[in-house]
Amino acid sequence: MFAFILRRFASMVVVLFCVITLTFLLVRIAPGGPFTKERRIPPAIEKQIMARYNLDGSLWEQLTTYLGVRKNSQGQFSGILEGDLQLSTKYRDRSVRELLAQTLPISGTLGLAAFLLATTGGVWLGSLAAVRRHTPTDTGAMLAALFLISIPNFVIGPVLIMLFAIKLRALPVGGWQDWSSLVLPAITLAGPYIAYIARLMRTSMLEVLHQDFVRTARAKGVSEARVVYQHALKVAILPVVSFLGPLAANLLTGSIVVETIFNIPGAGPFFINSILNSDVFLLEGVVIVYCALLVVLNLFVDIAYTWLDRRIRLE
Amino acid sequence: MSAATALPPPGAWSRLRKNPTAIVAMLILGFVLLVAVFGPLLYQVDPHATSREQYLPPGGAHFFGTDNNGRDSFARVLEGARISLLVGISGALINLIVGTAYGLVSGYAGGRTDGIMMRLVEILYAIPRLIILILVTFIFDKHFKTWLAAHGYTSVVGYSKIIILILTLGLIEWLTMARIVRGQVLSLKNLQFVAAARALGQSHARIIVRHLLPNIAGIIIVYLTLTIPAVILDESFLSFLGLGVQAPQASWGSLLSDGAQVINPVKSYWWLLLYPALVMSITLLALNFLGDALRDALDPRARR
Repeated sequence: MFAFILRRFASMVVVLFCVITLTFLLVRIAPGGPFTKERRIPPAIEKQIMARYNLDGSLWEQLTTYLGVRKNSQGQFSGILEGDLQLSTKYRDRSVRELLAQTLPISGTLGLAAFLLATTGGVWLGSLAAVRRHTPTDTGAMLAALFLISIPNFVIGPVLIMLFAIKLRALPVGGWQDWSSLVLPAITLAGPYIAYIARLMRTSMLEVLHQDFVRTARAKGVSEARVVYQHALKVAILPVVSFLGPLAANLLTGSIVVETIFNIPGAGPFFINSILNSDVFLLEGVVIVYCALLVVLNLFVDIAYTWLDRRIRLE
Repeated sequence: MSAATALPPPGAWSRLRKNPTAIVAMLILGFVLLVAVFGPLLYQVDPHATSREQYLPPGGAHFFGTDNNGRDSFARVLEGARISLLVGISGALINLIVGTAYGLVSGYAGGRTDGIMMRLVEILYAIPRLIILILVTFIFDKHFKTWLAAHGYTSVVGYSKIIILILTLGLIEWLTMARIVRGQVLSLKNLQFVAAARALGQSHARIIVRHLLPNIAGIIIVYLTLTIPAVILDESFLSFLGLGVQAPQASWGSLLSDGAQVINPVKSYWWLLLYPALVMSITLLALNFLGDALRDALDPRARR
């Protein structure tokens, strides 16, 4: 187990390094630097600004300075390895760390709410459909699931706003004040994944309910509810657990859209703007956090998977 | 998965024909495709022509109403259908080729190669691919535009974003396909007909192309049907954020983005959201229904 975690940790570092490097190079080879869109500045001054942000010199020098393995213009090591995420080139004199500290808790709350909603809702709906297979409940649930998968969340979002915020005035249109402004965005974000997990869960539950240990449990007189929700669920939930990694990745990208629809001051809009402004350090900051989060989550998912399924041993 | 399910069972087509949902889905898709291809030829209204008739509700001369620039919404939805379907279908085809090739090689090679290739798929599953994709699209579009202009392809410059979108979207949705194909190949390659082919001295390439590929054709078609809506969704996601298809061109995503912006408590221009949403959702629904029905038809046991 320990060796497994160690090996996974090593691969995590490699993945992160690749993503950081790729992002940095992609932004820096793009035509037009972070300062070219504004009023024309004299070349000498632009050179000075670039030097201040350590964006002068060759690409290799810029990258290694950013990573923190080369001394910057002040003669210090100050990069990712030292925990320095640099300054934003667009939002002048604000550090990337500060911007992230402001926006990430919001995105995180939204993501977590959607994550919980998607998993609990999906597992419950899928098991219900499996237990009552070929009844109207089953057909209805699966039909609803297919609808939710097919309708993009940037359609569901505005429709929910029209219904609950504008017509019924029950919930806020957007923004970020209290828990009530979390309801619609979380539902919008989780919708397709409730459906996806419900479909996964139904198929797997149907398979498990035909297995011998379920028949044994029934024969021993265990109540039907306990058979399904205790004995069968523990095995049937495995495909859902292995989907949790991709789910987190999808929720991350989905949250960008949902934050745009509901005007939520999370990290999503900053991400989009940092691309449009070639704001390399802010972009890197968001990408690093996103990737690190996902990679760590995936490790947890793998550990949870083996814990649930004793038949699998980590290589 | 046992070996028996890997072979396309006989009578798949007749089972599909008996499924009313599949028939309806196919009819809808045929209709949408026909309208997207021939609609703009029959309905000759320029989707980019602006007028002073802003925000006209549906009816009269304008079927679906007009938008904030007085453009005809119906013409815009038609153009959007062309672009979204073009990106969706060609992107899905690229995914199909990449995924199948990857899965075939991984499954057929087996052993260490297979291990490394599948580990890579796992890693790719876990990184936010769309986020990297947004970056790649944004940056290469600029380069591609300059390149096109420099080499005298000025008439294509307007389409550079669409071309880039097709190429990049074609490279991110193949992971599931690769996994499925690999699983099928793993169970197929130990069957006797493959052993026989090998004993007869056929080359690996020939075994893969002549013996394995025909046997997984069914499952490939199923996942092609399911990849098209995924790619359409990805494209509309980018366009919704303003990073996909560029104005004045329209895709369903950019139309929905325009529609979502004019939803407000004071006055609602619902038609700008409703019609693109309806057309897009129906198309995606039909594709997903058809994919499910195809899967049932090819593997009746999965149905239960």
